[in-house]
Amino acid sequence: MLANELAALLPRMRRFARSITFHREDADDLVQVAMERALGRSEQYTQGTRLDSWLFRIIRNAWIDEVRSRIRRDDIFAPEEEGEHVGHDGTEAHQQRMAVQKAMSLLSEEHRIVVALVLVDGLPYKEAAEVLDIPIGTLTSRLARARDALQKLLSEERAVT
Amino acid sequence: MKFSDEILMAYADGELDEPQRGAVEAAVRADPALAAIVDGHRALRADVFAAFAGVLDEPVPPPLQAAAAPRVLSLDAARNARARAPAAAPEAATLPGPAVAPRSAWPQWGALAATLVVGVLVGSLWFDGSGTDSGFVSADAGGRMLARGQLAGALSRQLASDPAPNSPVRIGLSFATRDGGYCRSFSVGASAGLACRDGDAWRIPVLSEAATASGDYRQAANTTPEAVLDAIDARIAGQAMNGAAERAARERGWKR
Repeated sequence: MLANELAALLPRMRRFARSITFHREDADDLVQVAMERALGRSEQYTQGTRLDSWLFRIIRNAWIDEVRSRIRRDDIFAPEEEGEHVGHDGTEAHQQRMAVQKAMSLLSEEHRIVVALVLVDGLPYKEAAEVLDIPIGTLTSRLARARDALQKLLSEERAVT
Repeated sequence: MKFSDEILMAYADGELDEPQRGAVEAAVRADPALAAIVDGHRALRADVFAAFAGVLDEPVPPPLQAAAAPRVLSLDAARNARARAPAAAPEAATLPGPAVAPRSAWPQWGALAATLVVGVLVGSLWFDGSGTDSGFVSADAGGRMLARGQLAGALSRQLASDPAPNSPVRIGLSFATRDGGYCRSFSVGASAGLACRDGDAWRIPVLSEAATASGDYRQAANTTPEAVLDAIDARIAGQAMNGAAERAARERGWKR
């Protein structure tokens, strides 16, 4: 039953959404919209193919729609000061998580999504390429550039603090 | 042998097939500079993963859980779906589809759902006439079900947004009703129902067996039975309440 399978994927979809939007509320709104789209178009889902990839694609498309409409409305994207809500514990591990979240928020949309798919969710390159509808070579070079950018941002942050 | 950064990255990610994988492995073992690059890719991957791993442990907010269930994915969508598929309503055969105002059909559906409930009210756990503390439900003089004991306590105090791990009761969603009250959906074990505030009591118009399609108890608890969804649909005004609204309603003793 599709709904049960969707429910089982909710934690992963929330994590993906959080890693591309950075706001808990945006992320949950995004997953909600995507779930509605998924169930509304369940006939478009091909049995036997990966449901997670299909959902990632729906979330990603919904997010790109949202980004475009916000740009049209001149809404400002301000990453949350505290990207993480689970409480501030002040440990080094916590600081590190915050630094990564902040660096992620400064990536281009395209780079952030590829990092979210492969490094956050752990999708194989082949699946990630299918989600993004690009050849695997393009995926690989995009991922390499995204990692470079992320690494630079993190080094800059470390140099400042 | 020279390897591009992309190849080293793919190696670090476990994406290479033989024989390329073996070739890179040998080169990395022989060259500390290559090893450092591979380690860098792995460290970044581990850091990025760790930065978002906590999200998996967060409880999924009830509105999202509801969104994944087709019947409550959005109440408007559910209404529209019903309007498009009038065959689901027993009386709809005589009514022209698009001309039916969907809302008008629901009180009857709700009543239908309520009658279904009586049949599933079984077991001493649920219905306790002996006056001990073990039951969740009692009947009033008019034969209407009321929550009692732990269920009544949970309905008054527990928040859907903040699940109580030690409580046997799980609150699904809370909402304001069209007639100016509050109702909350809940589940206990394999049963699920809807409770509506009535004075100082929680009246239970619907109690049903939770769907157990998979036989998995934990999944079953996430699947709100059709009868309960229909009852929610028949009563809800606007959207389900968020955490802040729930908290405020609890402060007011669930009175509006």
